[in-house]
Amino acid sequence: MELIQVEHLSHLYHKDMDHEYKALDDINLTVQEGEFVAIIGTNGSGKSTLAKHFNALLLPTSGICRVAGMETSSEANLWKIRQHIGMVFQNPDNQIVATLVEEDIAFGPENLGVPSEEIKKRVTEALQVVGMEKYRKFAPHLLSGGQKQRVAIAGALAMHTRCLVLDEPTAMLDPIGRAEVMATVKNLHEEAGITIIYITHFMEEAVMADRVVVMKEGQICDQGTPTEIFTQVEKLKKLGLEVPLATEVAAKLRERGISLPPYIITNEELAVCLCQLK
Amino acid sequence: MSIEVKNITYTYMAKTPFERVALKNIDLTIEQGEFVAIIGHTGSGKSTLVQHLNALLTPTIGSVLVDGNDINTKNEAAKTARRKVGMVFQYPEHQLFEETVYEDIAFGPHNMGLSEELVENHVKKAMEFVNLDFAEYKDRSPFQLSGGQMRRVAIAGVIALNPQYLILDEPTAGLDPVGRKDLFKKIQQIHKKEKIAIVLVSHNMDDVAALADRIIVMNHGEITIDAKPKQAFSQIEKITEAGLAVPHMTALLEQLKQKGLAVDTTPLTLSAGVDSILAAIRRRK
Amino acid sequence: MMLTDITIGQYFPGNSFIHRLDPRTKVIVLLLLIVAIFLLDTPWAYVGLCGFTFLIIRVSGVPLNMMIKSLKPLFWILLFTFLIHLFTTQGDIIWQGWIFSITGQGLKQGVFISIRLVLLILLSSLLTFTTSPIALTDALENLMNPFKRLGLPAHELAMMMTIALRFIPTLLEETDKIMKAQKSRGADFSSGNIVKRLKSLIPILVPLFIGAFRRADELAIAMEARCYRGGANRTRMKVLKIDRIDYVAYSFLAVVLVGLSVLKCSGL
Repeated sequence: MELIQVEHLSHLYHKDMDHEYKALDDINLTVQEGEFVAIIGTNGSGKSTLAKHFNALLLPTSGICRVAGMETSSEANLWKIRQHIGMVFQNPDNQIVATLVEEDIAFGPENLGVPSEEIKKRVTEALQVVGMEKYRKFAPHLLSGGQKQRVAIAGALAMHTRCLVLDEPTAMLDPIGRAEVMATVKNLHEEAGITIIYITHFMEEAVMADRVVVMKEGQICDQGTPTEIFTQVEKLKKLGLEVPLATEVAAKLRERGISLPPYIITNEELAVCLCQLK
Repeated sequence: MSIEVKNITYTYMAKTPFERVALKNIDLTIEQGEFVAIIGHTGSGKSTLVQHLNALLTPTIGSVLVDGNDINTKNEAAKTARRKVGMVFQYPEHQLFEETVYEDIAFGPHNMGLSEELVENHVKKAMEFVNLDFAEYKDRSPFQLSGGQMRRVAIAGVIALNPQYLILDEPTAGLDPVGRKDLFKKIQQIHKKEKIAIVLVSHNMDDVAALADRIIVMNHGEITIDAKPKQAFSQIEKITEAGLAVPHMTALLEQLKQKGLAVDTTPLTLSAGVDSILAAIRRRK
Repeated sequence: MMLTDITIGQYFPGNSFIHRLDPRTKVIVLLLLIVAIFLLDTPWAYVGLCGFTFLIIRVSGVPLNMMIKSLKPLFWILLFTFLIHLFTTQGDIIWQGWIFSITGQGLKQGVFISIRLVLLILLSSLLTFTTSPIALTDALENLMNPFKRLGLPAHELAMMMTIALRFIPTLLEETDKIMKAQKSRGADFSSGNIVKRLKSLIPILVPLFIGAFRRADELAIAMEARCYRGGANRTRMKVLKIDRIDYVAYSFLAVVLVGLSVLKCSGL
């Protein structure tokens, strides 16, 4: 079933002013329930602008964005859509509202008018899913970046969100924090079946996805499985994006006369292929 | 000529219930013209350490010498140290405040008490280094530039001090791959052309693997590795223990080795890595 | 001193009788005690009040030296008010020197006013020491609720307080960082005359404000994304409840206040 449908969506910033700027240009995209989609592109390619359309933080200048069949431009659907689609932003500091972890996770359900006892249950569950039970009574500024992002994820889960949109959630984190967030997201997708839309410019993170969407100057310029996308070494480099190292090494080895299959994007795949060489 | 860190210990909030030892017995010398990378996860003490190098923090025990002078003795010493040791903080564009790019970059030189003519000289040179056209950008408001340009203005503001040592704390955080590559190239140029010593603070091994002559790994307020890149990255256990990831190339070669291909795992660049794999394949045949 | 050394809210976690009281009870009790402090003006009533304050500090389990520390920032104000009363009150002169003269009434006034201030500070600190900031905010929102009909934006005020409490540590950290960055560029905050010093604050304040606005902007988006739409139809995870121990506290307070009134009325 389609969870998100985007048809001919364009978005102009500062419309009808002299610094009008077309951030999105005729986007068509469908995300299925339960899918894991990564959106990649350089800064300014429009990926964050697109993400903000998925839960009606921005509305299309033209075209349509539908969430679970509801059009985002209709005021009546607004809160249902936002409950469906949870958002996690780049800066872990600027999305935590309350002075205690549990209070922050309760913020979403409180806004939805969920009864007190039910909120407590949801907070406990959400904390368990992201592995932060120990930090329930902590003040947010005492947590690491990765922990703060997990709190933000838990905050969305407590709203019983069906889809999580993460906008460069690891850009400000160190390797430990990045690994924490990636593992949490992967777990949510695999165990809880939550639809994931993951915006990033770290390729090793995009490799986790079922499908990769490549954006450039407000348009979708390519999409496919990680293997299909990341094996196009030259094209990605021209777009200013990184290529997984294994793919790059495989390409160089091919140039030097080693015959390797075309699908290599992970170290594991490269290792297996090289060891099978006769 | 060097920065000498002599057995320093630093305690945050000493004598309170929140007391925490951030640095323990650090000994370190950074020679003029070196390119050093200090790596560690958040809270490992790396930022605390570099803030001692230009007297922003005073060690609880021990001393720091810049070109032979103890920088914590009096106010004047600290000022001189800050002129010699430039410091670019994380997200430096968040510290811009002037109305024009020129004025912001000139803030440092003005504080040094230089003549207007010299100030302009310094600003011009600094802007050239970060690839901002002087005529085009000098009168623009820094707040109307793109994120990447703002960062370059902020870095120029430190380069305009004409430092002999330049410390950069996570200078590429938040930039996309193109922006990252660009900035690292600039840093390398400054290092090579001006013979400025660079101290690059990072938590990303890949960024520094190909650039630095020397890698310092920090964990729990102590230096756990201080070696040339190849030797440093071969100590995989210590690196993982410090909560860091080895460079991608090292990880890839290590995996090949585990799967039974006898490769040399020390190369760090793409071409050297490929050569190492080819050599291993030929040896097997 | 480092800016980040300042602990705001200074909550001292615990499980004492005082800690367990409903935060609204604590706010109401504090208000009543403040009124009592200003109405009482006889020596024995003050002794009684001091004794009561000391008693509840002991019950709360907050270390005495922490309480005394809370007085420290206000020491100069205390001294100043004491001296003003000491020297300016008219009455029977008991000591005279140079242009100063001290009167018996002045001495009494000075001591009384100092005791009042000290008690005021100690009791308010005890409230923040034993009540988490969030509980305090909830209590204030709840207590302000009846005034909503008069146009008081109770929910909005409470939300502002929560966000302020949440971001104070973050902004202090940021201030520290900006100061260090500008120092690295040769900025000097500690020398020169007052005009120069004020001017030297511009490189700190401008980035700080810009940063605060950026954060506010991002936070607003994040709150909207989590379905925030003001106080209407909002529920709370923690529901405040007046319990038995609250009634115990109110009864005890009533006894103390009656006792103190008796002391006052009998002029002791």
